Amino acid sequence: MRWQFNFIKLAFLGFLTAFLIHAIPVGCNKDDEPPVDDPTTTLDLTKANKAAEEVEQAFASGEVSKVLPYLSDVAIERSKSDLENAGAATLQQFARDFNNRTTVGYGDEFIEYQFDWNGLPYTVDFALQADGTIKIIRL
Amino acid sequence: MKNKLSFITGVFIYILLAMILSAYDNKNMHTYINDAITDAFIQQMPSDPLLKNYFIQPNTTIKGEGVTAPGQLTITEGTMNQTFKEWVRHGGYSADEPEALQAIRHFYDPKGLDGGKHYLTDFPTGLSLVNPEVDILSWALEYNGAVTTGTTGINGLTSLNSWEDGKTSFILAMQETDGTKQDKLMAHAWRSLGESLHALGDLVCPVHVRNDGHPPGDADPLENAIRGIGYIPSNPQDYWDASLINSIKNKDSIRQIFHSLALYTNENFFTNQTVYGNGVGPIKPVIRPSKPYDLPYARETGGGWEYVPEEFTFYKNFGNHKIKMCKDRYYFGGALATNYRTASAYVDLDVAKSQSQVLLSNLIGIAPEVMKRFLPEMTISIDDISTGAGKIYGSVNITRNTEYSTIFSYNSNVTLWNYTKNKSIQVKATNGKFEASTLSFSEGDEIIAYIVLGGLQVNSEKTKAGGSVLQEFIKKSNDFYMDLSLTTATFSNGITQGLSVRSEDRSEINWDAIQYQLAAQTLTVSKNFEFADQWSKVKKDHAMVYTFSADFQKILSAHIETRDVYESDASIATWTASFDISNLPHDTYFGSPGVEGPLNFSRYNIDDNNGIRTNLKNFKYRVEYYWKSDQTTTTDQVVSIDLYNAPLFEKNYFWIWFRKT
Repeated sequence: MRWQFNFIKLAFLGFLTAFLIHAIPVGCNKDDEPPVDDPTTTLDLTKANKAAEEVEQAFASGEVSKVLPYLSDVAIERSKSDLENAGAATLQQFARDFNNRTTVGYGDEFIEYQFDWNGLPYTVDFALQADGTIKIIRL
Repeated sequence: MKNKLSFITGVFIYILLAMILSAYDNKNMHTYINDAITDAFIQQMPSDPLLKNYFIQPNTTIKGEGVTAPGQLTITEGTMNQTFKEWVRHGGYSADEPEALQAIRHFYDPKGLDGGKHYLTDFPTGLSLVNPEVDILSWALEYNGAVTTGTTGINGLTSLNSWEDGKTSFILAMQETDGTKQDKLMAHAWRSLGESLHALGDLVCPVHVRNDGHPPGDADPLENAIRGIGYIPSNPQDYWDASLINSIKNKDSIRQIFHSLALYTNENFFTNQTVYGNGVGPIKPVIRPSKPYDLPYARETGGGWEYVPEEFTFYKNFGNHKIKMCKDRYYFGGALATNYRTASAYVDLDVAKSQSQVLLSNLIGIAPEVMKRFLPEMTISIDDISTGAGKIYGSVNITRNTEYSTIFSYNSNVTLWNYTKNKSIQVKATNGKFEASTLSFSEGDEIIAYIVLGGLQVNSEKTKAGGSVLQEFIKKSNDFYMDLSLTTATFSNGITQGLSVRSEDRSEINWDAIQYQLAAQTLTVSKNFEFADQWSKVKKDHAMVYTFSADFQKILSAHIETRDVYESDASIATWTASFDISNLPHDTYFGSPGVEGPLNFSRYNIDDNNGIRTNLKNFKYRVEYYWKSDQTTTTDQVVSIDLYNAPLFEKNYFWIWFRKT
């Protein structure tokens, strides 16, 4: 009984902590991107930008195995074999290109980045996952 | 270890709930959309014949129940004081509250691709929610109680603010004289309208009509990121499809409007997970790859499609606009095999923005019709204002239509406003009728009657106060019964007898045509009648001109001509009469000019006692018989009349009963 009470108490503390972290106003986008239409989204932009940074680093390693954890199930299904066939140089080139990204727009669980690739913008979509992480849903 | 587990569990629960909360969150967009629809509606009102006397009072606030604290599973409601526009906007927001439970009810597949089911069957797992198995059309439109699925059980919810619930509140408000109660009902009506508009807005969001649950982890760009006011087209008419809008606006029922718009979105737009077609290879949707929606079908050319290789983009023509439908550029596609294209074509934010221009424009084109249908079709009329009686009679007339097919009448307050003198009074209508005697006005003053329901004002036309009640009645009359009876007329054949010249009213004879023209104080009438059966033919032509005094207390002069022809197998008989008569005093008035009834009349009468002897002039009366057997004609005519020696208990008289039939 006492253990159950402690469990509920700590779970509530965890809930509250997550809420407070979520509620802290954030809004630093990379590279001074243009203002977004709706500033009231609940997406944690800091977290999203951090995920994008980590993705960049993973690609920069040239190792597919380091990239895959940043892909959602849908993205893995679509792109795993292509990434495996691409070779380290292509992955590293992607990292360099992705480094020049800007934010196109975002919603509560979605954010899109773009960078210039051969004179045309190329977009990469990220989305909030069920476990709270933000991962690539389309490369 | 246990403590850590507890703490992490708490964090995880928060994240999961936050995701549920935001999974279908579109509340900001919906409030913007509802504002844009309301603005478009208000802009269109003056040019709509049915709404030209409807006005939205921009600053009038009314108190009602709204969502004061949102939540994913439960919410708090409390009293809010808002304008019409704010309540409609609030409905755009409150339709998603409680968010987790409402969101899963906001889908409608017009094609029923999954076994004919219209509700969301691509139900995201991991939400710990039970599929309510109800679609948004039923949820948002039907009466509370008409929808039973999804109302009970662990995630049960009751729809209290549907289209029909809102209309019910509107009707109740029209019966309510207590201002506080009426405001509360109207606030509910406007909120429900706003919630219905939210549902309509969902139908131009492809995920909501293509059975795409877009579960956490694979958010849809259009659903998720098209959310700012900047995405509402400033000139929607540039993008909307006028024929589509007209076609949908002409649908019989609100449900058909909703269904048609859903079908249009379903058949013309992709979600990120339901792209289908053929590009660098067969394009298969992520969900249900073996059972896609047939339309739209992306292709490189034909059927209004065009693939622009420089942009890696499939375009489709919508009117004069090329709209981006999907892209297939792929960084890891490989130059040799596919030239950096993928068969997994996708919708990114650029495509979503392009699609939303058409979708939101069509929504703005159609939605004002939805708002219009929510309003009962009412006209306020001032039926009579007579300075003589000092009374005003009027009515609030409700036209039954598809949305309001039940019979109900207005039983609440009416404001009568002397526009000229800027004075007003309030009266209560009973069964749609109202009358007032306490508003002071003079002849020529302009009077307006209006009602206000939750900031919606419906006006009558400006009506000028007339003269006497007699004048008002003559203005409204359209027929009369006239009778000149003389007791002693001597004919050319030497016979002296009584006679009558009559012009019956519609209740006695079915006149084919009555031209009845009142100009100032002169009434010109032409009545024509023809009838034939196996025995005879009858034809009557009566023409008259009456000139009234300025106060309509007297007929100053009248000229009457009648011609009645009766034809049988044996003969044709023609009676003609004409005379002038002047200075007819008003005799009696019975009825109310504001109320039409068979007993209403206004009579002028002159007889032996008040001047017929001197005021009847130029009397001519002729009878002609044409005998068919020998083709001969006999005539007889009045040569003299005696107006001074009527038999006992008889008299000479002329009267005319004006009627409104």
